[in-house]
Amino acid sequence: METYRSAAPEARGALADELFARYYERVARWCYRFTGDRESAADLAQDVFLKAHRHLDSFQGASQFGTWLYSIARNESINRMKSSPPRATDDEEVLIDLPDLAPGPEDIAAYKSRSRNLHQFLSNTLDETERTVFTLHYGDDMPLDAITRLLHFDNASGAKAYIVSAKRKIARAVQRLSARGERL
Amino acid sequence: MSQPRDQWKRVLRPLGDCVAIERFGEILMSEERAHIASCGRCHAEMELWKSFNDDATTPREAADVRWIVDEIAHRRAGEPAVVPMSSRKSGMPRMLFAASVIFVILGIAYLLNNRQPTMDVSAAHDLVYRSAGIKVIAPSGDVAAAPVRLEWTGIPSAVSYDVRVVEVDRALLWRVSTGETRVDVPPAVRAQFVPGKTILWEVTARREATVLAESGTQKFRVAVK
Ligand SMILES: [Zn+2]
Repeated sequence: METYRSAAPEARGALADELFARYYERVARWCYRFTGDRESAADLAQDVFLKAHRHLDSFQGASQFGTWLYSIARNESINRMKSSPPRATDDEEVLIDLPDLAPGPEDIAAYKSRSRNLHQFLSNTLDETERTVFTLHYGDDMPLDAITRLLHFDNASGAKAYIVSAKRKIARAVQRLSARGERL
Repeated sequence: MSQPRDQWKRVLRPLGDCVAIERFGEILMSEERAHIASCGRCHAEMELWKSFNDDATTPREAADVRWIVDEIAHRRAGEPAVVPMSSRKSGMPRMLFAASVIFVILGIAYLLNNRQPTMDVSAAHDLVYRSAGIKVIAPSGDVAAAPVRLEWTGIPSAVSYDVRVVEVDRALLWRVSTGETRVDVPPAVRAQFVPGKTILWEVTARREATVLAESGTQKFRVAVK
């Protein structure tokens, strides 16, 4: 600590660079898995470090540095998805529809309790992996091939297999509900 | 985007009691662990974070990852020196920026040596110098909607501001440090500002470990419609 304290101002910039360099591989790997090709990954990684460098002074040690940098990489990746044109619909999208949900209540407390019930419904209906893929794909618009690479699915169709089984299970559960005159 | 897809997207958002990503990698409290185990959103976030933090590069991706690492190093070497946002706005000299970098590095060194749950409130927090007070700009009193931002007046020599948002029983809702005199409230925290519930918040100005000033406890409440 004393070394840092006594470091000359010019040396401090280099110390920050050294700190970032320790995370180059982790960020490069994440971006590569997210985008699937090295050129886009390098662009994404560059933006991540640019943003991190700009906001370095907002990091004051409330979390670990790696976690802080990760949250920048995660948000930057997902935001990039939002700003790029929507991808061609996967065939799984056509295969099974997502069930319609009843309109949400206006009241905040009722809305929260309904969201909680739907989270519970997903937990009861899906296994852990299906629920994770469903959450990332439909909650964050994360592409299935990115999920496959990030979560190391080595089955033939990767995350797509889990999204298809998740949607089938949800559709069946919704049918059972409507047979009882209920809906999601 | 289809209508049901939008509806499901809303449903899959984090709930008010979801664990902030910043907590991952810390020693989690038992309630947080229990929540992550039962919550699909937090579980998915945890899986993603693990893939960033714990994974090794596989032999298949090694060459491409190496290429990207070299590319990052090359591009960053060509970038002009970046001055942090807040320094640019306030025209803070480079020297102070360098000091803030040191502060960050010291913080990391501290965390590496002393990884305690961040929920622990330092005893030093009680050493308060209210005389040189920070003035709160907003929110205060009854407000029409859940505030998106907390704002206060700066203290000239402060390097950082610690912000704490708590319930009336002092249960911590959110804690953050910033170099600026305002901070945006994350949606998961905002979701806890329900109408009729009084929320307390306070700001502490610091220069390194020294507390320079405190706002005192501020109150606000989202009006019930
Ligand atoms: Zn959660």
